[in-house]
Amino acid sequence: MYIEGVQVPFLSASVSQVYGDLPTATVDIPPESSLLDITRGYQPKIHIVYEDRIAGGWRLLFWGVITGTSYGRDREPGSTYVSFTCSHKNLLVRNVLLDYAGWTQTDSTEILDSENALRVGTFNSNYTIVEALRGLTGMAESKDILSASNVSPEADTSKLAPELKDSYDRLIGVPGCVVNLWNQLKKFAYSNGSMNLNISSMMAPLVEDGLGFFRRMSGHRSLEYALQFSKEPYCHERGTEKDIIIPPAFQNPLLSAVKGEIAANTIRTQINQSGEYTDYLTVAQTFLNSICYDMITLASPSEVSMSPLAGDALPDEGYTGRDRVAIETIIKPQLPFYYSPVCNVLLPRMYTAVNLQQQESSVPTRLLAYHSVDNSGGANQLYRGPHTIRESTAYGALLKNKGIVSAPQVTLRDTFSVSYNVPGKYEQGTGIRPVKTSLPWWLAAVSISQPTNDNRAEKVPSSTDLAYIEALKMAAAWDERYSKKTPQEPAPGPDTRPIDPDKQRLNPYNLKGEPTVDGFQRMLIAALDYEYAKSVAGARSASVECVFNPYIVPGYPMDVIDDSPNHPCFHGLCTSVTHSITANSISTSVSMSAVMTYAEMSNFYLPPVHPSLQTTLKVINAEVPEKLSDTYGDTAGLKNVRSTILQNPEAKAAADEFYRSVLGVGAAAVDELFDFKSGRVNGLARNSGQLIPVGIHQGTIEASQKSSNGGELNDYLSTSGNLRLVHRKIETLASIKDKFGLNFIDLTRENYNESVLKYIPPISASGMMLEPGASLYLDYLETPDFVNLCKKRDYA
Amino acid sequence: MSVTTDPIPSTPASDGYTTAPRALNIPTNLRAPGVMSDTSLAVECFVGQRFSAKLQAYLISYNQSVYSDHPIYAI
Repeated sequence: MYIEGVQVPFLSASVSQVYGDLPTATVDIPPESSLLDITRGYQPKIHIVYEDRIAGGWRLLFWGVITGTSYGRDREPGSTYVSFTCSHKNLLVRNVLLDYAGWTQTDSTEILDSENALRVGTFNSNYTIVEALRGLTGMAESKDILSASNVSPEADTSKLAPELKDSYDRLIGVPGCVVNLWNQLKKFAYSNGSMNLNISSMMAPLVEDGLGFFRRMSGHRSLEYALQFSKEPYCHERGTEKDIIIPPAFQNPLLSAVKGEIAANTIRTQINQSGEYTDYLTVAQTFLNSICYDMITLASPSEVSMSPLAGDALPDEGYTGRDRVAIETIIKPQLPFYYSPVCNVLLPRMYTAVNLQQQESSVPTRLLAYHSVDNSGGANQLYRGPHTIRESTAYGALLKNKGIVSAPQVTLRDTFSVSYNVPGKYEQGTGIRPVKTSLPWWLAAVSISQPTNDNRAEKVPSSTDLAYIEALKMAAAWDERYSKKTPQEPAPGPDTRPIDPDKQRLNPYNLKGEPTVDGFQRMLIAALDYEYAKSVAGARSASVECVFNPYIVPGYPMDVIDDSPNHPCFHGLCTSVTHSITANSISTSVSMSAVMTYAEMSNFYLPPVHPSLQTTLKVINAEVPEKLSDTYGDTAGLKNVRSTILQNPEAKAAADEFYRSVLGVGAAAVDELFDFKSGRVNGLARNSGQLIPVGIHQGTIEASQKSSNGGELNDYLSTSGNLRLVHRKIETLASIKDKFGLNFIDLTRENYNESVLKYIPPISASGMMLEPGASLYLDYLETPDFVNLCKKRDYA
Repeated sequence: MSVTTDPIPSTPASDGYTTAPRALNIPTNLRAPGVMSDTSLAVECFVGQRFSAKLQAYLISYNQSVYSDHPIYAI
């Protein structure tokens, strides 16, 4: 552990990463009373590193600042302690106070003309949000450079600063929105001469250079590339047309013209509803949360290839320093049920204990969302999920209005009406356990924003659009799951059941025939089914006690493999990772939520990603014939329709690419980790960051191979071997030294030679009494000298 | 950062009390160029995220105290 670059001994350390929060650490060090002074008026830097025996070298476990101190003394011997509480260094980005940038001073309801550039909107104005949704559009030219001495009214905040040129491919798409917001803040601050010293001389250099916040940021390029190049025009009421990114949460092949309006209004609504904002980091995080994205900070940044492009992956073994970049902040969509990255797999010899809690009685059987809709269908409609509940509601309507006849004609519109208390198919065994939920806020915005002219009316895609093929795939995938009657005794072998046209009429993606519902209602149904899947999975949580594992990343899915056929394997979302280090032990505790057993994954359908991402990430895919049917919406020609993460090579390949560019490893497919036919785990080998199944025999003790000194050579059968299979490259201490120009002083006999010099701290040697807030360990410029230095540096 | 081998003087404070500052011991090998930080300026340590040389000096001395037979005391 290093404090301010000096290695100091410690008694214990705990590093914690929780999904949704910055990493934190607590360290106990040998007590000395003057230690309490080091955090007064200053936040000393702390680095915790570990020796990686797999990838080699000293690598980062935590980089932060000390935010608090505690001291305790008990008269019992050996029970005095000094403990430092630390937060990740990016906490300092919270020092970028919007008020000190002047970004909150104008009326929050003001909508500005977009061309009056010096009057950049307040941070929550429609202009600001629409501008942010432009993301990045290229590299800055001289007129776009944002500095205190050079702010042009024509400066385009969607242009990336030249010093971030190498990061452009990593910041396209939604991460570019975060960068654009930052550029807007700077442009506004610099255009107001009396307020920019804090930003120009302190906060901007701190965030951009001192912390390297944007250089160490990345999105998942394979997804963000698609978003970057599918921007859609958005016409502000009083401005010009701009092309904006449509975040995946608002994408739907069935809705085209209003997506931009939904996105902008929703983000603005969410930001306005979330209370008072004080700092840039909070604004950026709220912006991302409102579009179902996360900003996760890795305590152990990944060291990956500089270029995120496909085909530029570096091999597992060795590469030169110039080719590497450390990824510390990842901007990602929320994907609780997706493939795990390889580094998030816990193989059998990596953990010692697993505990699962499953509150089945709290799992609802139906979700209800009540919403006031202003359309010709009338007000106050009720939306239900999952599908069997909508089906029962439709039959209830039929029962009341028409009676049950031999061929009942139910429609999707019937599912919005009163339920007549008809239980759903699977409620026959449990009774009805309803839960009322609020609609995703963006759907509320959809209904409010019903356009009044035909140009912006919702419309289904033309049969020549790519969006039409995506819609057909979604419709076909739904039919495979729900449009077939389930016989009491299913026959083994391939599924040859025919599509039932009555059930198909309830397909929310069905484009055949006259539409019975509006496009936004289809989106609502899809979103509600996804929310139901989350509520089912949310009833399960687990904790796993592991060997020390610095590779696992919270915020992404994970797998826990048990090699005994009598015990289940699990797939879930990693929500927290805590490393505990003492003189006698080192271990890692992992928490999971949304846990499913592998058996459950093969027997039940839970949508692995948000509906909007299902085609983008190729989770839903099918063989599409060269010539589609002439009947609009007919899915009959589509073959080999897949819609889960099981046995889905196309989705797995997309997932490999998804993870490779930010974590340096591929994805772990459940059906490659586990052989469902035999119920046994697969032995594994590793190649270029991917796990390769090598057969169930290699996962058994019979496949043990001993080296000459008795060590186990089969990586699947040893702890170090398991770690070798799943490891990812983490940023090295040497890389930090090189990139930030820091030198670390190790606690060695060579450094601490016997000859010493006495240093007299001048503050304590003088008679000065300091103002509270001053640090004993810093030198301060007098204010006029500081201002002159800033002016000379920033305004030259 | 001024270092010395002279005895440490006591200094009267502005309110009349005498202070006897604690001396820190820096091994000569660590005073070689490029080992310790070359700044303790607040703006560089905060904005530039450089290490404070004065705080490094304190921590180096703390290390010696922890590993010595006679821990230093603070006033």
